[in-house]
Amino acid sequence: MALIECVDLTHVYLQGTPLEAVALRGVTLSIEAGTFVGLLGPTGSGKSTLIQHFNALLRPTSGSVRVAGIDLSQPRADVRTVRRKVGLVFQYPEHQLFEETVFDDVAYGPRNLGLATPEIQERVHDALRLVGVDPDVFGRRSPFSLSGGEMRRVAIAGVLAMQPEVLVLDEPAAGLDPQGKQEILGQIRTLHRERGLTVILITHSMDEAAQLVDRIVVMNSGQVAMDGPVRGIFRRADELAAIGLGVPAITDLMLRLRRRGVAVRPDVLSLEEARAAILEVVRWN
Amino acid sequence: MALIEVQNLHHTYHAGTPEAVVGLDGVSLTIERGEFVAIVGGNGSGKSTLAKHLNALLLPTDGEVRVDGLDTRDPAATWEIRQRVGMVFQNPDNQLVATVVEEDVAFGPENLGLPSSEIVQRVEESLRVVGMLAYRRHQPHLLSGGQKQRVAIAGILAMRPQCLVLDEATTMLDPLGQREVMETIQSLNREGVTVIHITHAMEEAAQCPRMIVLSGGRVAMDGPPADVFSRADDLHRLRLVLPPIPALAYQLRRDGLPVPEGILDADDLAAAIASLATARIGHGRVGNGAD
Repeated sequence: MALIECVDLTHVYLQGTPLEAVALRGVTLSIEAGTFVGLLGPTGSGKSTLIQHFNALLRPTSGSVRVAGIDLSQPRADVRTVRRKVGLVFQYPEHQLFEETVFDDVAYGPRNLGLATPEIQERVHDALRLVGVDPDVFGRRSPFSLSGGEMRRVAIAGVLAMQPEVLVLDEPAAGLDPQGKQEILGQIRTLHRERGLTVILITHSMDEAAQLVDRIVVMNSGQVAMDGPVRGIFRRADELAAIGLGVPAITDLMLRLRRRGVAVRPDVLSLEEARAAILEVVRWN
Repeated sequence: MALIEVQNLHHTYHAGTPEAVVGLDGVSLTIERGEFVAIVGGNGSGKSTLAKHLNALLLPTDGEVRVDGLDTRDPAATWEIRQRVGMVFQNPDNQLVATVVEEDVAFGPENLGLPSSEIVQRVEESLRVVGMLAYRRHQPHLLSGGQKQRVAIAGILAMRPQCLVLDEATTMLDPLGQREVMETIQSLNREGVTVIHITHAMEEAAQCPRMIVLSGGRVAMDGPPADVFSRADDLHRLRLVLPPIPALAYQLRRDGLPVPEGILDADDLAAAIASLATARIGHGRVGNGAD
């Protein structure tokens, strides 16, 4: 059984009022444990509404969501267990930092679980190291004295300290400088590869998706518009363009080359693959 | 006289306290009327601090900033400076004040005490320029991010500024919203508005004729994107990375392919590679582009 399963999931905000808005219309989707899924789509396509169902912040208007076998369409579902299994990192999570020190901020969740002090200490140190923040250097500092990128990483550590099985991140690199982006995305990739975390990443950047994920789900107008392995999705450039999304810059270059009659493979994901493909057609012997 | 003249500008936050932080450490630059300039730099490099000096939201700790000849330290000039230089900020939700789009755009001109016929005319014209006239009676909070930023830009245009400063105004938008804002400011620039675009997106900076790179509160590079992007190693040290197309062109040149220097966009690189590939026709590796 998949870790997350949505069947015909529909969500309507403010149902029965003049402001009623349908955010999800019949989404059917399953996510297996250990995968890395990119969730893309224009603003207002339902991405954020969908992920809030994954840890029961929102409940289905109709249809169902099961997380680790727990049916969240049931009003008495075990929400606590689901929230421990699924860690949600919202956009600009650093706005949610509030404690006096970095250590206390990351320890907030584990303390609420009622864990023993040594266990809390271990979890906090582990979580901070996972995001590349040295607990001995930063632990006693105020989170508000850190740079934007450091604050972002501390906020993510706060979620990791709950030791979730699934990490859902909404635009984790937004607003960071290019190297800050690379650092944070590299750490998320490491978490997935080395700890086997299931990761669901909302991003607007095709280049980020190309670098990181195995599978892409494209949302549009509250429905799943496309779903498949990354390379397959990027071959459908015209469909992506029709819903206001593009393909990664490198994929776009390959498509332009093909239109000019150069027979390169179109579904490259990285600069290295593009370079190899170009050298192959251009080099003398 | 240049529109903006910054001379040896220093800015220290909380100066004279133990929390003093240097934001700008001796910036000198000149921006002429009608220019389109990108300002890039890592987090903490001083981009926003510089931007806020351009319409007197911040004042120099040392050095000076002149806008159209007016010294930003002169309190009597503040309002004239702010009419000449309008700012658009990052978060589209924090900049709109009214409950109807056209009232939001009218907010500035109303404060200038203009006659209402003039206000109506300015509001219409500004909304038309950003492509939002059809939404004049809409509620701002129901618009997309890109649409909100265009309304924010219209609100500034209604003040008839000479210069628009965008402080990461595309950062929170989706790709479509980013494109809408870029196209809007490019068309404004063609009509003579000076544009200063602060961004983390190197792909956007590549579309501006001039790039200023800040680092540690100083100007580290200043020139056309083709020149700036030819210094890949320097950029890396400044916490920046090449956009994918210049990065690939750079790599292919290092592999010994005669790809011209200064290539910024995909079509130019495709053309250069295609002509190299064509030179190989007859060697059996160039096909018709089919699978």
